[in-house]
Amino acid sequence: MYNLIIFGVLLLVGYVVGQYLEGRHYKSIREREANLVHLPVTDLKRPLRQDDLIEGVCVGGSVVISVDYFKRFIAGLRNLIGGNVTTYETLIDRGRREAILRMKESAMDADEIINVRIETSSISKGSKNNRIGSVEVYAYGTALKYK
Amino acid sequence: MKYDARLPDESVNYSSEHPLMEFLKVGGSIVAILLILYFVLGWSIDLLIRYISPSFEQKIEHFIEPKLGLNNMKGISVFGEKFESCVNLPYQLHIKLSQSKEVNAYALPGGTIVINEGFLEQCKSENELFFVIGHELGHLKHRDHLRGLGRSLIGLSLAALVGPSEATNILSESIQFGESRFSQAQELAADRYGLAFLQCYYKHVGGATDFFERQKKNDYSKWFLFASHPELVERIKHIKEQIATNQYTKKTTIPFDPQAFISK
Repeated sequence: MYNLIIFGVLLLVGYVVGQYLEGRHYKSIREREANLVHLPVTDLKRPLRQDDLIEGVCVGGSVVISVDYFKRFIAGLRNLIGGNVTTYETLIDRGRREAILRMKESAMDADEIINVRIETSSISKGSKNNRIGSVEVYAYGTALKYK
Repeated sequence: MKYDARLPDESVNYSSEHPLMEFLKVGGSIVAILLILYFVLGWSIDLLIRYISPSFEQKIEHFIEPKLGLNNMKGISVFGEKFESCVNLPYQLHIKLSQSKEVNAYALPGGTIVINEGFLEQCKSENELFFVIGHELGHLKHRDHLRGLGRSLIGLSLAALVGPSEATNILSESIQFGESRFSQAQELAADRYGLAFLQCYYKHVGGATDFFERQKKNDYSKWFLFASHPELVERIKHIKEQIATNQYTKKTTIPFDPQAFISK
């Protein structure tokens, strides 16, 4: 019985705090995206302009985001019945956008970043039943500065 | 190529469905499936149980036997004409003594009753011991152990299939919860059988509630819904009601001498 109560409390805390933190993160993401929208980021192998280049630097941005208890529980239920794990979608979305933003922030005086790739890996700590799951997203590319 | 500064399109990469709706939908469908499975299983097990022969039960016992070390346990000898005349089971009965200090006794499929040393130490009269033996005989007669085994076996195999996760932990907890409620009714039925056994053996039911009355002082099970033995007060009340309904009589009990019962 106690286990059920503890479980309920964990779910509630996970949900409330998780939603709050996610909302806050998205707010920060949208603000910074608006500020950095002038810096182009592409996955093309070629620069956007034909002008002469002064500098080309490899830049990267990485972020580790953890799952809250509520999200993990729903994903566990989805394990049983299948279907879209919609609760994880926002997690991955935030991770990617944050990683790209950090990459941009590390190349503030560049004119564009090309050949951008994103790599995702999962980080788990703990025993089989008690895994603390987080996802690490790393975005990297070549930052170019024109004359 | 001309660069056109644009903010990301937020509508594509994640669903707008609220997480709580997701929780309700997924959780609700799983709860519904579990309930259906549980009730269907329950009915089918109750139907099938009459087809499980005593010899098959003994085969099950052979699986459990080596694990519990039953062969190494001393026996408790209670047999005699009087005992045999009050017992109505289709298989050979064995009563064993376990060295465990836990105050408990239990029945295993195939006709074995195990009584713990811890229980014998607390026992003050012969009648108490025979009530408990009768209670366990009741479980064997009603084949309660098989019913409990069946349901939780199927539930746990489902959980095992899916693999460990929070969801399956909750699944097995809920099944355990259901099982403990189910077995509380079984326990009361076994108490009734124990009472009838006592009446048959001694021709009176003195001592039936003595042990429980003493244990009541130490009882914490009020707080635990999961307890497989119903709250002692409930049990004592039920036994007293049965005594009144059946108009059983109570006479003095016989003091308990453990050595008289333990065989080498």
